[in-house]
Amino acid sequence: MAKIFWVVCPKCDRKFYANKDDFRFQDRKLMCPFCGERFLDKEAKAVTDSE
Amino acid sequence: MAADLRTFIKKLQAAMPEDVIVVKKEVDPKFEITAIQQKLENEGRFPFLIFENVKNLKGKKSGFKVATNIFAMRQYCAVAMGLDREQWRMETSFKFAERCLQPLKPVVIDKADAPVKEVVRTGDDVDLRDLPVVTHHEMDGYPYLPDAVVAADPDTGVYNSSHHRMIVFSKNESRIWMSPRHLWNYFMRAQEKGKPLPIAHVLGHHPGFYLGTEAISSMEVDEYEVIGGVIGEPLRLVPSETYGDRLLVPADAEVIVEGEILPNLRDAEGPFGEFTGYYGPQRWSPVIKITAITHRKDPIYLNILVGHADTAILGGIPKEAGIYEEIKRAVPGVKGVHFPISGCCRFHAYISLKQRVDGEGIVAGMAAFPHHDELKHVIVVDDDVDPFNEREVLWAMATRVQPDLDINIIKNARGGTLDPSAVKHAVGGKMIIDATRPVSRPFSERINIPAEVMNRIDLKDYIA
Repeated sequence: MAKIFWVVCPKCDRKFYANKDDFRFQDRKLMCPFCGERFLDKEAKAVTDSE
Repeated sequence: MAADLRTFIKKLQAAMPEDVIVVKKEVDPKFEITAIQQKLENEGRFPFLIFENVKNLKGKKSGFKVATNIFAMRQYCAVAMGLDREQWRMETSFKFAERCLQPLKPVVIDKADAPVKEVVRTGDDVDLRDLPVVTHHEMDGYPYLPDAVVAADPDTGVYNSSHHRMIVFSKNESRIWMSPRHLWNYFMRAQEKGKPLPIAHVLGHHPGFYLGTEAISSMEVDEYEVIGGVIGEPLRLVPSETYGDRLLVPADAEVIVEGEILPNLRDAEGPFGEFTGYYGPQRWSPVIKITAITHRKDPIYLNILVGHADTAILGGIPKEAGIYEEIKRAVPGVKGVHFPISGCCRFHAYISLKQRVDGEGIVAGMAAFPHHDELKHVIVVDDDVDPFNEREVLWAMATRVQPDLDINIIKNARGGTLDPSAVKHAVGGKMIIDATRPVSRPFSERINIPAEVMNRIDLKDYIA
């Protein structure tokens, strides 16, 4: 599977993951599947990279 | 009467009445339908479900029924292929393959005769939130249209039908993730010209429509013709509201959502619970503008539950006969091929054969891999083992396999794009477990009761 990284939503504190090539260190806003918040990876409350 | 979802439901109610359950209590499409399916699955039950009273995404009565689990038992697919429910093993796979080889050209009918045009919504009336779109799993977050997407090749006009989900993001905006196959190829060529790709999402048709969508065809093959072959009659088509003859859509569908994949515009889509039983990650995916919704007056919205038996079996049956034919060229003694649900009907194959010389089990395993790149583990058994009985297959593995002798591993082969265990994207290992008895040396005999006694004994005479 594509490389992933986990993020914690800055608004609702829930965790989900995204494709690393698509979002990590890119100027592209993630979309929290739980609350709809849009944010960059650097704005996440926490980030866990797969490697 | 043209073959459609309704003709199938009638057929299933006649063939397997105990397996068709109508739910009258109101349900919310956000998690409630899938929770009911999960609870039934936990009890080992996979009935075909029709929910009669379902809310839309605005929390109001939708007026749509929702049907689901249409592929959750192989017996349903046997009935869809015109077979008896007992013919659910290789008979169903062979019938599917036979029908794929008899494509039928579709026919175009007038809009006035098309059931799917009974209600037409365009312009400001388009609102995906009026539909009972199901949210499947917790991390999906959003509701998704489940299956299937049709499109015409932007250069040749040949039709493709494919399994793609589409997120419902707003009243008229969706997004789609495409692996690099035919639909993606269509879109990339349209995008190179700066044009959108017209598409339609087909929600509710005869199960043969979706099984035919799974047929492995080259890009030059018109899949409307293949689907007609699988259904057993020409598919009836009608011009779309948005694109007219440029995009013909199935006239006997329950619901059609028309739209266009916009060039050079991407946004976040996912995570989404995939067939693997894991979530695929959020991706930066093409955006779709929804342009029209048409449906019947009393529509049945068909949902296919991804990551469970419903989508597993849909993917498995179309592969089995194809792989059987590939193996037969190398090993004439092949008897059966089964993609079990335990391997998501993609990752595992159980192959049975009558081995004439040692080594044929390995050859059969090798012959299986090129047909489907997601296949990882092959267990080959003798013809005294039913490949559709997983307990027997694992018994053969337990008693006929020495790991250091009978397991072969191939490294760094092309693999599936969604295998969560893969370290490299779409690259991984393959394993062949040869659980056949050796031909060239004596081997222990399987225990048995004399056949004469087995035939003579009738349980009813002994057990009340």
